[in-house]
Amino acid sequence: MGILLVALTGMGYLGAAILTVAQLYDGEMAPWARFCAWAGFVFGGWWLAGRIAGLISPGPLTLQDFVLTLVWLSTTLWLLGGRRFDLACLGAFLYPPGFLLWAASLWAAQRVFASAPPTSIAISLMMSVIAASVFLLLAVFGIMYIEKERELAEKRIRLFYYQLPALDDMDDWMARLLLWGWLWFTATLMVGQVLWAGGHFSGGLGRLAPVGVWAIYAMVLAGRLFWHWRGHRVAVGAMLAFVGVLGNLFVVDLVLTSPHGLFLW
Amino acid sequence: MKIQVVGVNHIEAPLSVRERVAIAPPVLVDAYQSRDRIRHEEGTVVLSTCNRTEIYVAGDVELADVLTWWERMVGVNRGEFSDALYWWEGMEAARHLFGVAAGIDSMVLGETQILGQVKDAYQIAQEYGVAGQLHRIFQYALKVGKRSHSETEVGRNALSLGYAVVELAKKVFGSVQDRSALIIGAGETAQLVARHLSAQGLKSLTILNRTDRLGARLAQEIGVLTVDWAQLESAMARADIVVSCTSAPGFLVTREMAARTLKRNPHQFRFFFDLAVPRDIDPTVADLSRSVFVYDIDDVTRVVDANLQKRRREVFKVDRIIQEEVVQFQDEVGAGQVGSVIRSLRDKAETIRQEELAKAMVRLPNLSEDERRVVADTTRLILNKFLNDAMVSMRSWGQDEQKGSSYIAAIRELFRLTDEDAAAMTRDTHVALPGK
Repeated sequence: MGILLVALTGMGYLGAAILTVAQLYDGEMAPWARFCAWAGFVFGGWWLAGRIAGLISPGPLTLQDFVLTLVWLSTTLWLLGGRRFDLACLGAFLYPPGFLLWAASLWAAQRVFASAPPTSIAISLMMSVIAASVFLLLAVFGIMYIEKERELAEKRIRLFYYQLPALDDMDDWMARLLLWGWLWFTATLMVGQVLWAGGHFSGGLGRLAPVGVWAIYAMVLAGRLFWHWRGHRVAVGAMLAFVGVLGNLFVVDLVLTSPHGLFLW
Repeated sequence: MKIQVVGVNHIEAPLSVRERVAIAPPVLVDAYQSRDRIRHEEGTVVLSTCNRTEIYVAGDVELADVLTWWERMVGVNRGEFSDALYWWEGMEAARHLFGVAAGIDSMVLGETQILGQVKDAYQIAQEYGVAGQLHRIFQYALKVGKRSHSETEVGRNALSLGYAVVELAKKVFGSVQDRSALIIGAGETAQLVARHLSAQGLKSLTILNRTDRLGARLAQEIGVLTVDWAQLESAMARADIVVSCTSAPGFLVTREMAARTLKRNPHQFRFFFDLAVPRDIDPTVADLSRSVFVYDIDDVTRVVDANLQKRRREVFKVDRIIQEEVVQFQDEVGAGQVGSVIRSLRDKAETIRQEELAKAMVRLPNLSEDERRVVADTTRLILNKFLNDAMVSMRSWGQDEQKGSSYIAAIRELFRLTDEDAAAMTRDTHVALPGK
């Protein structure tokens, strides 16, 4: 059952990754893209619910759980708000990296949490996955912004000129996601600091790494709020900072032995 | 029912021809009043715009009669415009009208104005009581027009220089209503852009011109502000959108000047449109910040060209909509023709049944009430069984234009049917004037 749901989720995400891009070229693909996106949402949600309830693939927490939740949450936000906010095009930039992230997490599926995480860490993990979802959406807006800005600056009118939102609108979205994502991430780190024995400032680079990511986002936010950074710098900052998030997930969590190196082979 | 269209348009007929054969509103009244000269006509709609004059007629009408009527109305011998004429009949006429309503036959591809003109032409014909059998085809045409503009992008994206400026600004600023714009110059291009920008309801629109009088006149005309030439730099510092279109020989907006105006907030989005030849704005201004965009007249023209290409790519989607609606219209027309024959045939058979039944009852006075009912039911049953196969076959003809017209004519001939709707559909020889 677990393998079947993972396969169906993967097919949903892969279909959505292909069809949301195709939708940019041909709007008639939109219903099919939405169908695949909803399939990914339903099967992914089913699998997650089953894992939480211990009914599907019972076993210790894995990195795959974390990444699938991250992808599931960010795509769910898009599914719920994409049409309402006229951001259907966002799917074309969200699903391809979302699917790759999800696929990358598969090979780390055996990387398990050393033991059942204490409540404090479980809370911190849940909070951090929400922050990471917001940051994924922020990075996607960053990519969209850079692409549209490039077309406008090079004066070569192509696909993105027509399909992507106005630069100023994307800048507003980035500002909102940056602010709320950073605030949430700050709260996440504070919870970790308070509840986690030793906090972030002991236990080596592994524990310090999330603080480094937090600092990058803090700098970008400060630039946006106090130094009038607009568009390009925020977009580049958001993408770089998300590389930090990925580094935390796939390097710190897997390679470094100390926590934040939470997962063990 | 036969539908045909004859007309001239901007593709084949030059303006000198189009203006002479146009059926302008004053002529239209006479035209509709004298349409009895078109024999067997069962509906007429005249669509006359700057780019086309088309006459749609329903009924078993000879083309020669329509042309004679047309040349009398406009006082132009048909020989003078026959080379530019086109003529379509049946579903090809429907396809043509649907294409016209969708804007794919227009000079400006995908424009929406023509849909309003088609609607007006149809409504005027309705008011004069002359649309007759063309009612459904025009309903379908309006539907095709609406679908084309809502389901495709054939009418989206600017094709004029003035509107392209607005469109480009929206690609950067989103809504431009809370933005300020400065227009440098008061010539023809400046006026065009000023009108487009003004229509967007900007927070402020300022015009700046070397000759105060010209600038003031334009500002007054569109109800915006004007400032002195000496305030160019300060006006520029306040503007998000700067459009320059003067005939100045050198750069009016230099890199240094732009750098000074951007100094306070270098990351603020700004869009400079240089529509002048020679250019007014130093193109290196774009290098000052990634938030600054400078487009000259060639760049804006390239955007317009790209938009046109995009609209052209949408035409196949419009064609598909047209095809769908033509098929649906064809089915409806076929079903309508067959339906009236079926009704006529059934009515005639029922009349005969009732007459003969009444005679039989006179000859059988001793039948009880129940026996009378049995006899009546039996005759009805025989009639229904006899007609059933014929009805099924006739309904299938509705899908086939060939059978739909020739077979139905044969049925009418065989059973000597008169169309029950014929009287109602026969046009009034008197044309009712609107409001009378």
